[in-house]
Amino acid sequence: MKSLRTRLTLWFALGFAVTIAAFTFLIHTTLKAELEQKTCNKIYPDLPDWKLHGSLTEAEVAEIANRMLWSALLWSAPLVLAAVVGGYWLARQSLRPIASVNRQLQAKNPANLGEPIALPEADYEFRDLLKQLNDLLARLDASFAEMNNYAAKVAHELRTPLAIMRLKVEQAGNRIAPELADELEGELHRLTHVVDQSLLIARAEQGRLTAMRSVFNLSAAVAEVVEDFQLLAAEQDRRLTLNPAAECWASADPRHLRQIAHTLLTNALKHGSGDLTVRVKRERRHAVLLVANRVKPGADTESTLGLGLRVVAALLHLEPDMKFQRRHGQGYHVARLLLPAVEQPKSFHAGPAAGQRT
Amino acid sequence: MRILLAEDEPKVAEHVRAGLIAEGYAVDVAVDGDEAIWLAEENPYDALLLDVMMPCKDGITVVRHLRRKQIMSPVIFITARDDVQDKVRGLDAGADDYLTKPFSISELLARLRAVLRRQRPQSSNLLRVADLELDLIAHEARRAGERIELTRREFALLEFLFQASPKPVSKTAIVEHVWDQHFDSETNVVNVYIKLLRRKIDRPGLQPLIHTVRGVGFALREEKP
Repeated sequence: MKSLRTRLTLWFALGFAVTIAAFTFLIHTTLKAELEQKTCNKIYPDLPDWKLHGSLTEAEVAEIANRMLWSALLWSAPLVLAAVVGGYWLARQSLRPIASVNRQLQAKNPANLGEPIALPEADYEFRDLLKQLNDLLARLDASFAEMNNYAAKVAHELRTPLAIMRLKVEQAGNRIAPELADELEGELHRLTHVVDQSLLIARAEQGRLTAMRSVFNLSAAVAEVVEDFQLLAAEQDRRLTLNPAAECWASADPRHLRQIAHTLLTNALKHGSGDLTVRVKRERRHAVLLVANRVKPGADTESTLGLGLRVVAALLHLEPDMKFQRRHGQGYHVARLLLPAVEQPKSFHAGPAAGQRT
Repeated sequence: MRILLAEDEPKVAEHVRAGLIAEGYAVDVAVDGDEAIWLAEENPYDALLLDVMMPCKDGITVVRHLRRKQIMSPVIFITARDDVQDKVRGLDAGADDYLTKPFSISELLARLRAVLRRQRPQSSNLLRVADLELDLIAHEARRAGERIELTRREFALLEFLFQASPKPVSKTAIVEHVWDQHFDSETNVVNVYIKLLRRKIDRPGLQPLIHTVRGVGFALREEKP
């Protein structure tokens, strides 16, 4: 049996039932023995030679003993039922601290890792366990912060040598082979991007980024992002189709939405093949952004979290109302971002359309 | 041109951002003073639009901090405070202009063009290389008197090439000044846009003006045959 609460309830009820059964058996046996030995003697004063001996027949003894047995069974049934209910209540009360600790642990994220688990009415047995758990969390928090700070410091320290190398390559552009200069610049650029992304992740995980939620048109925001990617897809002889809902209003930080949409589209271009579909739609209480693409043959779709998706995960920590889902199957990869949908605000004037010509 | 907008009021930030993007600027938004400092230290912005009253650090503290770090990008303060003393304090801290709320986007854009113009050797809103002209106010490009249709991004890229002309600019510099922070610079987006621009500007029969400088990047200049 998997549930400790059910097990405790059954043990309690079973213990109670066994006690009642044993007690009933004892009374039944004793009563039967007593009745079998019970005799009555009657003396008649007028007739001194006369003495009347009497006792219960076996059938009478059995009937009295059975009546007692049935009566005991009749009363013990509701008592056992009460014991089940009582046992359940007691088990629930006893396990409440565990449920509370479980809830608090589930709510843990990098931002609140160091906050201790609180159990104000914890029993003595739990207090020691709680202390060990909170000490462990504090140590984890310290390690996590140290690792984060270290990653941020390393990323930050890398910026200066990267800037110097970039200047040197630019200055030496006409003295070294152009192909080499191109390649060096490309690699430096890539490294700078990795450093930037790492700094962004570190900042988000340190809780130093703020979400500025507002109501915005998801269709327009996505169309703005998609513009460049349509050109990039065309360059690879692929087609990026955007199917936006006419207007789909959402509440979130539009900067985070743009960053996540950029990351999803970049991943779809880099790691996918064939045409890409971007869809914006309303699903009940959610405004949904969907990015679908074919998976490159032989690609590892369950690979470890890449830098781009680490950025997505870090930003999602800041946006608890946003949900991110990924699905693979039948050669396709589908990423879905769900944002809280809202009705269009009456006073809102839409911004300029994406792709507007100057 | 890439702009940092620091504004803690979401609606104002989105409207100003939309207005700037419509003009072809790449825009990053910060919601408090700390984030503004972080972004300004990490990215090479052409101009900063800072709200004075912001959480964490106010705009004046942000400008003082950036100037101490030798980040000299032009700064325009956006604020609801129209007291003369406030304006003096802001300008003395190192800002280049001061705009009081409420303001119109066209006024903000005009002031932005003005502070950007001061950074350029040619202090005109009409840039010219050979027979190619770029009108920064009308947002028009003309080659040999003929109007060229450009998207916002193409216009921004051409403007950046104009600013550097005749010197070449690297792909990294182009990405940093024409795209915002979200863009994944690992893509070959610069090459794609340069190809599009060439198709529109260096049409067959015309002298090529956009040149690939191997090992450096791209340059907009007239090369004598």
